[in-house]
Amino acid sequence: MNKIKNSFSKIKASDEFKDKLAKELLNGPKELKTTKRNLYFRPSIAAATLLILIGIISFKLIINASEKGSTNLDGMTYASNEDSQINETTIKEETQESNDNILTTEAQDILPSNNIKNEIVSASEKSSNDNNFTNKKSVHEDVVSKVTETVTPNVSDVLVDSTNEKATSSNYVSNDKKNIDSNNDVSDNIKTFASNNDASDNIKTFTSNVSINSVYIPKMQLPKSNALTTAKMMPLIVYKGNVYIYTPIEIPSENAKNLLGRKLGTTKSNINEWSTQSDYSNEFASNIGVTDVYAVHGYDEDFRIMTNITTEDGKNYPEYYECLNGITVRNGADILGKLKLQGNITKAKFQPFSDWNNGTGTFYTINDLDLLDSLLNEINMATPYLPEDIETSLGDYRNDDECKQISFDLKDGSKNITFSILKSGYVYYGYPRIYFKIDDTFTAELWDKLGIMHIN
Amino acid sequence: MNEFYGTKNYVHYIIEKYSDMLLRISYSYMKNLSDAEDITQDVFIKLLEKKPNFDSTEHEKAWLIRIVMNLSKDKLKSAYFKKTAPLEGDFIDMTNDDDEIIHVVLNLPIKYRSIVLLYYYENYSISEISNILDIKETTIGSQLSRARKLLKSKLKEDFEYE
Repeated sequence: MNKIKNSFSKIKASDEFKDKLAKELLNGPKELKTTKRNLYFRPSIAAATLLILIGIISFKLIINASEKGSTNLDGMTYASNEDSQINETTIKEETQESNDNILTTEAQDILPSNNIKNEIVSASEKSSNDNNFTNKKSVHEDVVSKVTETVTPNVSDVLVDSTNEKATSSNYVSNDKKNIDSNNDVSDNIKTFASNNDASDNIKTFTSNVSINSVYIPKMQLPKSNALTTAKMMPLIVYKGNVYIYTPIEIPSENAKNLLGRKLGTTKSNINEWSTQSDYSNEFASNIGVTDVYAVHGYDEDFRIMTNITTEDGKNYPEYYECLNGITVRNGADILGKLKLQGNITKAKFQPFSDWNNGTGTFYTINDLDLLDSLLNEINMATPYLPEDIETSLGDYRNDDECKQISFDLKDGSKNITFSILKSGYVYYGYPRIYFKIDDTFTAELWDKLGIMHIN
Repeated sequence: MNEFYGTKNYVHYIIEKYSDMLLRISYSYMKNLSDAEDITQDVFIKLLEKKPNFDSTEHEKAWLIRIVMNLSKDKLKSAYFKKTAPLEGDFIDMTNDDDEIIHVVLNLPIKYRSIVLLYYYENYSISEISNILDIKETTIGSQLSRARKLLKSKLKEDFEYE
């Protein structure tokens, strides 16, 4: 018998409370004691707010126009639309992609750092406010959108090392410590960028092949307002303009301190079911409440950050958040490299699908180190596939015959870094899901050996 | 359901149907009845204010569960609440056995409590909890497993998968 159910059934709302609640709810928001009711906008207040906003925007436009007439740096700070159109068009021709949104996003990520550097140096003459560089990636996008010289990169070259390119451009911004534009302009630009991509009905990633054997996963999107009630709200943190998603990796309390890197900031707890894309543009926006965010020792903070709560009894409850969107993946090494599995595994185990799905906690240890090495090598070399390209052909693999979960524990204390492995030879990790195809012969060998371990 | 919103009947309907559940979940976070009642009231206000379009009563229930959890977490993290001392379980009439079980569940790490309640009390499956909380099934599974182990060690009773 379920004792928890019996015990908790004693906790119920009293009739007195229900009566009081009914009275208060029927009396309307004015009678309710909650302070939240003050946020309930009446139409007249909403109209007044709208008028004020229009006034602010008009004022800003006037100020911008007057600045434009009084400085000789207008061409840099307020690049003409014509110029940016030329730039975009050139890139579109190079990439020959059909998806405009993805192309725009991609173009912003792959533009050569020369453009950015030139732009920063020129723009730096206009202003000296250093605070704008808290979000280097956003500034990068801002700069790119204002490029006036159409030096077009070799797309395939850029894709080969897009991550490094991104880091390089950020460094230019950081090292120069120059200003390009006002805070408002930067955020406006981010919002514009976000709204250009506001075509999804749910939080999801739009993915597209960008070259043979590589996939690009653009940034997370917010749903349109009319779909918010059914939107999937995942635990997330926005850092440097990127969305980091919660991972189920376990970190024992005693290992937390060794993994905690420098403090990056504190989350704002400002995202909920009714958030708009502009809320996502805020640094440290989150839906996990207010908590401190840290880098993780030994891991790239562009990929993984962490939170940690220490309770009164001294126990730590750390959690990892990973950013696997807004990146180009060419092979499994791009993901394994971030996870730093090779040479660091202390334990490996697996679960049949049903044990994993039902959370039984039953695991089977993998002691065959050669098998593990081979698996990691295979994943390293594996070709990535997007879910929309491959899932139809995979069918429903959510059963014990076709799916197993392999989990790794690492020397640094991270536990249960889990990969799903399919009998058809596909492996996936994390969210958003990217499939990697490993060798069929090796998959058959792996499947046989795991089957034997299961029986034993 | 929209024309039903805000009417006297609707208010009584939601209170009768959900107030116990919301109070229970909120209590699992706040550990005192007074705060749990405040949060339960706030959830209903939010429901009446937002008027979300629900596909079904299950959708409505899941929405309310998510909101009560969010509001409870918000309150726990508020500066005011951090400066107050909790009044744990003083207002609920129960036997010693019940008291022990509730006490042990309420002393689980906060992220396990709601999962334990949804699984054992509301009889949701791991998959359903995953959808409600928007957390991966594997996470729910592992957290439930860890919660079971903790409960088992403290209550000397095996809470296996049912």
